[in-house]
Amino acid sequence: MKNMKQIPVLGSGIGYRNEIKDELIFDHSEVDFVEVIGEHFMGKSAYMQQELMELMAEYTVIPHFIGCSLGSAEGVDLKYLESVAKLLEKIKPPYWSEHIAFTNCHGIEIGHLTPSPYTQEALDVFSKNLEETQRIIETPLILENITYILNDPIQQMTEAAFLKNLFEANPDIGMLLDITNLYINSTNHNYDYKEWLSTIETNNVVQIHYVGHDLRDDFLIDNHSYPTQEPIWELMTYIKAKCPNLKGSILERDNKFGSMLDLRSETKRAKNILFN
Amino acid sequence: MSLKEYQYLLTLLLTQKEERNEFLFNRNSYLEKNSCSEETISRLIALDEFQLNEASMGLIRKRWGVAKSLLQINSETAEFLRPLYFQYAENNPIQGKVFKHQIDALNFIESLNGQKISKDLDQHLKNRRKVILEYLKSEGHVPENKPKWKRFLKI
Repeated sequence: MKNMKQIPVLGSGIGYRNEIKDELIFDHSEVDFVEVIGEHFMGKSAYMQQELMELMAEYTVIPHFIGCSLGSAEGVDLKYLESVAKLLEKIKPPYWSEHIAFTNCHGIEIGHLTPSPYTQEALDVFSKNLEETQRIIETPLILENITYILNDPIQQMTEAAFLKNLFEANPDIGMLLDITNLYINSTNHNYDYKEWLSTIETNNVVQIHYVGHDLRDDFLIDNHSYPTQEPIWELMTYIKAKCPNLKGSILERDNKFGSMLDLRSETKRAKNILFN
Repeated sequence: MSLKEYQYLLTLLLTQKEERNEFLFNRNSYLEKNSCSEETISRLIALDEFQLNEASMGLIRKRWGVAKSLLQINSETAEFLRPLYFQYAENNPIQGKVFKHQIDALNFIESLNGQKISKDLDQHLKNRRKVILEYLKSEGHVPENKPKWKRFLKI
């Protein structure tokens, strides 16, 4: 990523959710910055705008989006991207993030991040959509690796090779490495995450996500509802040396928040591993 | 392969139970009916059935998680409504982008018309509907009365 040096080190943060609002606003302990779901603040509600202002007064806010569908072969929704740009103008973050996925097709909203097949055609689609996105949004963009259950049976290339080629073809884009997603995929699809990490360009990693996973019918599930398990902490320790340009880490809990004390102890542990 | 064609069919299979069942019953005939390219056929025909079902159920579980929280129901009510939600969601893909979950919750409440539910729950859902509609109004979003999802013509 060309403008990596302009991005400040943010440290250890947490994904902002309304359920933990009061604790976060009144107590900064062990939380250096927050990440918000961009779509939650794209509307006109005065309440949501107020909530965003309160957060911005206390923390650096990084917007994380889920609906741009950057892998869509139909192209990107320009009106949607303009709304994203408007929000970014308000927040003025050092960077924003999205996913390596498509989320809608032909007017049908899939409701989740879905991978494209790992093909040259899909790479070309991403590059075209990213070019269009960067034409509308100047703020640096980082892209996240996703979990997938459905395996593409005819792979032209592996997921790691696809990501390597994607970032090589789009040198202005950084990576948001979700280590829980990586751990889940490597377990569910039986590959070695160390080999995966040696294929992709980890100098490009700007931020990481981590959280605990669930287990259902021998499948690991990414439901953002559990404390981070030891193998994920081990993976975090492993990637530290591999990601020399890392600027921030986000604990990404969506459900079963438990006590804020426990969440803070996780962000503290991440900080000790990655930024001390 | 046309990526557009692949993404379209995969979207149908992930979000529509009837399409998925038809595909799993006879993949060749389903793909032939959709006049797919050879590469799309070879890619879709080899999809793992367990993974396909699991991925589509995962979508509904995720939707249900958000719907539950928007409906503000206790665990006992959630247990009662869960099968009804899954029945509704299996053939009603999520609509909209920014307010998709709110619209989903409203559509689910609508789908309960004619179901046997207690007076208390009925009142609670009416109240939640009102709150969600007020929220959407405050966001400047008026939900459209969209027709039930229809299959698109061949792309």
